[in-house]
Amino acid sequence: MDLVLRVCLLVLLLDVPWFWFQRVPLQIACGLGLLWPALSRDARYWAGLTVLVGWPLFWNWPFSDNHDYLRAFTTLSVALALVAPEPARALRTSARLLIGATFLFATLWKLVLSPDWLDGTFFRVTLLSDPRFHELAVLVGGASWDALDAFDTALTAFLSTGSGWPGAFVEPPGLRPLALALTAFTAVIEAGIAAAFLWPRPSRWRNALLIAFGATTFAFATVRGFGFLLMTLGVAQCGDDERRARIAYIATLFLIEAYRNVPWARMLIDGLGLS
Amino acid sequence: MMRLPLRARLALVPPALLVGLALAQIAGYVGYGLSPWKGGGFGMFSTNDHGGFRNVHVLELAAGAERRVVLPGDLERRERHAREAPSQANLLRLATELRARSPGLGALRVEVWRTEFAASDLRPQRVLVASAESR
Repeated sequence: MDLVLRVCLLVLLLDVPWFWFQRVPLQIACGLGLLWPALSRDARYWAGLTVLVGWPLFWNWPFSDNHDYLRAFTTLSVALALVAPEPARALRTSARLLIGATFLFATLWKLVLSPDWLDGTFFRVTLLSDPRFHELAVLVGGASWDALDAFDTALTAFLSTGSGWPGAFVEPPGLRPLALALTAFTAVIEAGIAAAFLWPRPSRWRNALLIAFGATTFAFATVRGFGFLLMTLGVAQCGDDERRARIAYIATLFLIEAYRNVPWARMLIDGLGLS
Repeated sequence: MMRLPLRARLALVPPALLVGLALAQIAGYVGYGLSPWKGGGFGMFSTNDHGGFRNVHVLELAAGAERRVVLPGDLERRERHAREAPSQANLLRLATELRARSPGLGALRVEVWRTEFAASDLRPQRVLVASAESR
């Protein structure tokens, strides 16, 4: 339980909110909890953290990212676990269900509600328009930087001026298969995580799937706050006998941080002469 | 059936809140076009319908003609509200605040458009998400 509390505080400290008036009180509170472990075992302290993490969700509605809500549910889970008869067990239950429900709704959106995900259109557009995915488009999709620039120029003109779409834009041929592969991979792994974590009995797939998700998805989709929280919840739902899984979650947490800070894809592109 | 003591059931509260919020977010999407990426429903990375591909247009309605009104910079947050959560209340609030800055404006129509990409060649087209008129 102490390890989970420390990891949770570390993650809250590393992934701080944008506005200073949200960030500074949270940093001070988390720092105090890390310096005085006894404080971090107090439910009232975690209730206070939940307030610090939760009030911006109301003030900033609807602009907060989804993982901002998950962060508040995580701190609330710790606060409630600390008043439960068996805190570690209560936190395991909350963490497992939070992961399962998160991926259940992520899967529902992708497979049922979204109008443009199943046919691969979402990833085709994202690979071309979202700079976080450009290196993947070049490395695996065979896109040229000129093609990415051409799409960006045309789309910017379309969105800002309402001008027509240039008929000359040609989608790089390797992009569609890459988009379909990403669509299939994401569907399988996210639905698999939802099923494994919502299944009431222990499943050996849980940790393997969630760690695989963290180690692959966040290599390009650098939403580190979401990755940090998922790995923290992963640690929290581990049983006492799952020491190796806990180590793997923490290692993946640092891997996600490395993905964000080490320009590995750019170095690979340069090394392969694709720049 | 075994009943858990009240304190043990507290562990179910955060997941229940998550489910409740996610269902409310889906209702917002269906009901008034709330952005799938926002609102706590975990619809991020599921669709191209997000703030980057949405536009807010404000049109002044004159006799037989429509004139595009440029929004002042200090209404940026209100505009984002209309873009991400285009409920009638948010669209009318944007019109009201715009009129407070420019009292000479006539009737206004606020529109929110999203961008849809053709699956065949990715050609974009605009699709109306919501609109409201303020007189």
